[in-house]
Amino acid sequence: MNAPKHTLTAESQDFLDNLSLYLFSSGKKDEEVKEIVEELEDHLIEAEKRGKSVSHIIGHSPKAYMQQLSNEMSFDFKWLSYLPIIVLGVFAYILLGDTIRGGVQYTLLQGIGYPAVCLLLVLFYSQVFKFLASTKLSKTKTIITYFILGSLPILSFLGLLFANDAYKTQVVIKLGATGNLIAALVAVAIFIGISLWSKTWFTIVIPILLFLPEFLISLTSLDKETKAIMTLSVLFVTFAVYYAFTIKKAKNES
Amino acid sequence: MSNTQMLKGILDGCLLAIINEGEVYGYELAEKLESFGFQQTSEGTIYPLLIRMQKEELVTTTLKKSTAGPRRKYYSLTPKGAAELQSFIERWNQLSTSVDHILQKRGSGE
Repeated sequence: MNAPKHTLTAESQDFLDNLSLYLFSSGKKDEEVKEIVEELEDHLIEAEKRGKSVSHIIGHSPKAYMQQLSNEMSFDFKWLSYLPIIVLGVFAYILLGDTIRGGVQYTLLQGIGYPAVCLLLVLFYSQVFKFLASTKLSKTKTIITYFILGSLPILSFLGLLFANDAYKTQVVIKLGATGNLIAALVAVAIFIGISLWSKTWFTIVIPILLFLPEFLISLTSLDKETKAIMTLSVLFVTFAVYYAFTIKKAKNES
Repeated sequence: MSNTQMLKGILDGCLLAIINEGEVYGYELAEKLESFGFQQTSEGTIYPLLIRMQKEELVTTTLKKSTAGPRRKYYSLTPKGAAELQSFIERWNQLSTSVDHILQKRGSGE
């Protein structure tokens, strides 16, 4: 970036830094934040050249002025669109895990439960989006809402798992060898699809790290205990390696 | 009623009127506004209004390189903005005539 020919006073620069922080943490769109900060920077440079003070521009309460700007700017809903994808991802994860661990075998409760939970979550999310779009929540409330929305798919699938153990219903779906293979391919296709959509390797790398060692070990003729210990230790090692790799990559990029 | 309250809404119309005279950037706009006697509001007040007017498609913006510092954002009026200015002028004329009438009546002691 080119250094501006006129440097701002510390007070003005502080205000601009605080403003971008405030707007980013209010979930405003990156592009809009950059635009307004740039525009105000230009204004402050011009004003300072003519000896005007910051308060002449923004009034006596920076906080109130930031609030005024924030009120006119739009909330970035990009991350919310990830939620239905998370539902799909969690489902693919369960499916793939089941095909490896002894094959897909669903009881009546699961057969109805999985699709129903997926559908309900997607419907629920779309309603929540509409609500959030028209409501202004405080920062704390927004963070709590994000957290609840994000953990909802995992919680509901876990709930279903426990309910399935508690209430024994008859087995309605039991896939054979071919069926399991197809189910595994569907799950893999979902992972690849999400990866392409989000343009990240995350949903391909994580399932491979989670399932590939387990799958390979399950093919060996080792006894059950050794298999379990090996699966667990391989998991730790692969995650440690992946983590180290990610950090190194992030450092190289910065 | 304070000046700020009275100014709300009127300021929108004034900004449209100034932008209508030709492409203008933020600082210039604030200066022109001040030169017409709007000294009591802080200069930054125009930006939340400009963001809204941009959302309502009353103004469009183009970014141009400036000699010093960051890129400069220039505002110009859209056809919708021009129509809004026209309706503001009508509303203002009507309002100011009414207010004038009332004040003159009182002033003349009737």
